[in-house]
Amino acid sequence: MTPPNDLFHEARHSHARFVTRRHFLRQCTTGMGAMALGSLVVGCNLFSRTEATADTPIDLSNPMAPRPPHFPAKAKAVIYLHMAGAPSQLELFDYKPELLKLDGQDCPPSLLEGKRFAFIRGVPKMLAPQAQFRPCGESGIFLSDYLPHLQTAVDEITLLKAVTTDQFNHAPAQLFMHSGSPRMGRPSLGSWVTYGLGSQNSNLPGFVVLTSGGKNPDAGTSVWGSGFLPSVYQGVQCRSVGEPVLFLDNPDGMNRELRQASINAINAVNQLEYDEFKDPEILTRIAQYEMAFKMQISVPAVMNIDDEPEYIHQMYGTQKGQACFANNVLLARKLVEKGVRFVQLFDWGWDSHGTDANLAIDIGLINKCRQTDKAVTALLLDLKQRGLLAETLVIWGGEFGRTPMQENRENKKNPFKGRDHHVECFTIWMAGGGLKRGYSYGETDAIGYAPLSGQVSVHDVHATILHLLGFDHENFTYQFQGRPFRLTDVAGEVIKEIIA
Amino acid sequence: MTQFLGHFHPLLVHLPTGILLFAILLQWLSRNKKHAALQPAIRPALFCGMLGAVASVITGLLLSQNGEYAASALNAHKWLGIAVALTSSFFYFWKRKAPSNKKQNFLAGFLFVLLTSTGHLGGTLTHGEGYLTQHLPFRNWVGEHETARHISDVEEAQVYQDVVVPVLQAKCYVCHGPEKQKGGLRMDVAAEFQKGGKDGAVFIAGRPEASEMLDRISLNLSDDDHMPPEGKPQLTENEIALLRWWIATGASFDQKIKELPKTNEIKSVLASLPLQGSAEKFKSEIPAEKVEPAEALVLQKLRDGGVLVLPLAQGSNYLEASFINADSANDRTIKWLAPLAQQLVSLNLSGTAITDSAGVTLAKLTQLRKLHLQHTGITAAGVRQLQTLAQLQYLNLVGTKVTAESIATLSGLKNLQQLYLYQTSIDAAGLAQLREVFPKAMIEAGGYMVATFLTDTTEVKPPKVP
Repeated sequence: MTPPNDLFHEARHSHARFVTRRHFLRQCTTGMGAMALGSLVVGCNLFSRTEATADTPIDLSNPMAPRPPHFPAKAKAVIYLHMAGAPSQLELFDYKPELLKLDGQDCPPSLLEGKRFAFIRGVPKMLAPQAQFRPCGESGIFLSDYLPHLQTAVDEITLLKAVTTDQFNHAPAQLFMHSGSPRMGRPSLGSWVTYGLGSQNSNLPGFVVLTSGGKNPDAGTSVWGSGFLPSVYQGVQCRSVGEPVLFLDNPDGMNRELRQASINAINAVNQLEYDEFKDPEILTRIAQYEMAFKMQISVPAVMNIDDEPEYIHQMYGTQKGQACFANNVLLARKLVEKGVRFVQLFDWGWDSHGTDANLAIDIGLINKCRQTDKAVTALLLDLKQRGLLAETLVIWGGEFGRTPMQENRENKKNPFKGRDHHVECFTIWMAGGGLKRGYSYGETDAIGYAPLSGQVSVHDVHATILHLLGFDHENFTYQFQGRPFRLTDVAGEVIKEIIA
Repeated sequence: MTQFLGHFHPLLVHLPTGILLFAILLQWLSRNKKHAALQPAIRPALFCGMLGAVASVITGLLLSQNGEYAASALNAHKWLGIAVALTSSFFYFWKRKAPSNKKQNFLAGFLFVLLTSTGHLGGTLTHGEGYLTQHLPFRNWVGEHETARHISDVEEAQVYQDVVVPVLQAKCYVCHGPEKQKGGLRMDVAAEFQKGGKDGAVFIAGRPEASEMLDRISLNLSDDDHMPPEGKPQLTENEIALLRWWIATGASFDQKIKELPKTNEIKSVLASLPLQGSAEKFKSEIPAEKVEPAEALVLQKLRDGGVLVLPLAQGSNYLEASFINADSANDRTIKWLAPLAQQLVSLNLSGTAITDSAGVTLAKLTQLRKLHLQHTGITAAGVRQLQTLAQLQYLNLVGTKVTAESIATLSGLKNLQQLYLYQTSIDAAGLAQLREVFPKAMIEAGGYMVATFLTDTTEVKPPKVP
C-alpha cells in the first residue's frame, strides 16, 4: 500500500469511529461541555503514541493477510496442548523423594499459615508421590513412569518446573493462562498471534481450537475469544467427528452455486453500505463471509485424518470415527503443516482431587496419561522427522499445579487419593521452535511446595512464546479504551535461559 | 590499630586529589591577567592538599602492611603517591618564597601527571584491571577483544581451564587475583590456589563438604564471612554446582570433562554452558549486510500468483516466500523468484509441482538460509544444482526421490545444519555416508515408531469395594 492510500485509510477509519451511533450517544450523555473540551484537546494531543496502530496496520478488507513480526521468528506456528483441570506435577515431572518419607504426616502449620486453598480445610496430611520416576534420555531428566512414551522423547523438550500463577480456581486460572488476565474480556494468546501475524493459508482459519475429554474448559469459549480485538481473530472451534465446523454446511436444498450467488449478493450490499458509511466492521464481515465460503471446501479436506497412512495412525494411537485426544493431536499436525498459525487443544479430566476414582491420582490420572502420552510423544517425533519441529512451538501444561498435601475436602477424608489446586509452583513443558532440547529450568523445594530457583510467572511464559514468534511483547499492542493493551499487561520477562 | 588507620586510606585519598587539582587549576587560570586575583588562593589550597597527601601516604603505607595486595601492582602506586606528597610540599614552600614564578606552571603540569597516574593505579588496585574501560563504547576499535572463551564441545573441554576458571575469573579474581590477595589467597595461579590463604587450604579435593570455599559461598548473604562479600556480584546456582562438582570429582587441574563422573544434575548444568555451536546457530537469521529493497513489480506479480512474500521482520528488506497458497506452482512460475536472489533468505515450495528444471532458478538464490522442498518432484538432478547455495542452513527433502550420492555433492555447503530425509529411499549406508560428509549437520531420517504398550489401551480400575 502506498503512503497516501495508507493515510486515507487511517482517516476513514478514525472518521468511521466518530460516526457510530454508540459514539454519538456517549458524546451526548457526557454533555456539550465535554464535546467542546474534546475538540480542544484532540488538537493538542502531541504526545500520543501512534506506534500501536502504525506497527500493525490491519488491512480491514483482508484482516488475515500475513504480516511480518518485529524480528525474525524462530517459531512460525504454535500447538498448545492444555490439560484442563491441571495435572499433578508431583506425579509426572517434579520428582520429590523427600515426600515419600513424609507420607501420612500432618502438614506443618508453616505451610498453611496465611494460605488459602480451594478445598483443603484444617490440617491436611502430606501425600507421597504415587508414581515411580527414572532419569531418561541423554539429558537424564527425571520423568514419571506414568508417561512411558514421553520418557523416550524427553531429549526434545524443555521443562519449566517453577511456574507460578495467582488463581486457584479453574476458570480464572485458565483465562489467566490463555489471555494474561483472570477476568474475561482480554484476547486469547491465539488471537494475539493471529492479529500479529495473520494466517498463512488463505483458505483456513489462522486459529483453530479442538477439545476432547468430554467437557469444554471451565472458562468457556473466552479462553479462545478475541476480547477487544476484531472478532475475526477469535479461535474457530473444530470437531474431529461429524461436521468439522458447526453451522458451516449448506442447509438442505442449497447447493454451492446458490450459496456462492447469495454470498456475492450479500457482500455487494455490504460493500454499498461500506461505501456510504465507512464502518470498518462491515469490511470485516465481508471478509468473514468469504472465508466461511472457502472453508466449506478446505476445512473438511484438512480435518479428515483418514488419508493418513496406517502406521501414522498407529504411532498416534488414534481411534477412527471417535472424538478423542489422539485424533485431535494428529489433526493439529496436519493443520500446522497446512500453514495454520495457532492450534489450541483442550483435554478435560486432569482435576485429580480424589473425590472419585476418575479423579484419583493413582487411578484416573493414570488413565488420562494413558489416553494422551502416546499421541503427545508421536506428535513430537512426527514433527521432528518432517522438519517441522524446528519452526513449531509445542506447549504442554495445565492452569495450575497440585498440592503436596492430600486433599481433605471440608476437613473430611476424600474417598480416593488426590491433591488440591496449588498456585505456587507447577510444571509445563515446551518443545521445538528455537528452544533448548532436553533441558529443565527451575527448581522447587524438597516437597515441591514453593519455587527455589528459576521461578517464572504466566506473563513470563507469554513473553517467551511471543519472543519465539518474533515479537517484542512490550511493543506488541492494541489500542483500546484510550490506551495500548498488551498480552503481558505491565509484566513479563522473556525466559532467556531456555532459548537455544 | 595500623589496620584501623589503614582503612582510612580510601576515604582520605580523595581529599588531596581534589584539592591539588583545584590548586593546579588556579595556577593555570592565574597566568591570565584577568584572573590574576586568584593568585593568593593558590598557597592555602596547596597547603591543604599537601597535608592531605601526606596523610594519604601514611595511611596508604599502613594499609599495604596487611599483605592483601600484590607487591608488583602496589609498588608503582606507592612510589607515585609518595612523589605526589613530596612534589606538593615542595610546591607549597616554593610558593611561600616566590608567589608568582612563571616556572611554577611547569611544576603544576608535572604534579597533574603524577596525580592522575597515582589515582588511576589506585583505582585499578581496588576495582581490578580494566574496570575503567570495560564499558568503553567500541572497545574493539582500541584493540581490546572479547576474551570470553567459547567451548566448542563440552565433553572435550578442560574442566579447570574451561569451566572453573571462567567462574572464578568473573567472581573471585578481583580480590584474590594478581592485584589483590585478600586473606593471603591468590586463586588465579594453580599452585597458590591449592596452597590456600592465611587460614590454610580453601578446598580439599574430593571433599566438598570440608571445603572452606564452598562453605563461604553457601553462607547467608548477610553473614560477615560470606563470599563474595555483600554488594559484589554473587555466584549463580549453576556456578556453585559446577565448583562443588569439580571439588567432589577430585579438583583436577588437567582432566577433560569426559574423564569425570557426572550426575544428572551436573549434566544439565554443563549443557547450559555457552557453546560455540549454539551461539552460531541463529546468528545469521538476518544477514548482516544491507540489501536494496526488492522491486515492487516483481513482488506484485508473485503476490498476484498467490505466493506469500513477506519481509523477514518489520523494516527488513530480506524476504521469505511461501507457496502454501500456490500449490499449482510449477517450474515456470518459480522463475519469477530469480529477481529476488539478493533478498530471499527463506523459501517454502512444499507440496508444489516443481521438478528438477526448477533447479536452475533455485541455484541463483544464493542468499537462501532455509529451503523447503518436501513433497515436490525434485530428484537427484535437481539437488545437484543446489551446490551454489553457500548460506543454506536448513534443507527439507522429505518425501522426495533424492539419492545419497546427489546430496553428497553438496559437501561444499559448510553452513548446513539441518537436513531432513524422512520418506526418501536413502538407506542406512547412504545415511552413514552423508553423516561423514556433513559431520556438523543434524541429519534426520525419521521413521520413528511409538511402541504400543498394553497399558495404552487399557484402564486402571478402582479397587472393588465389598
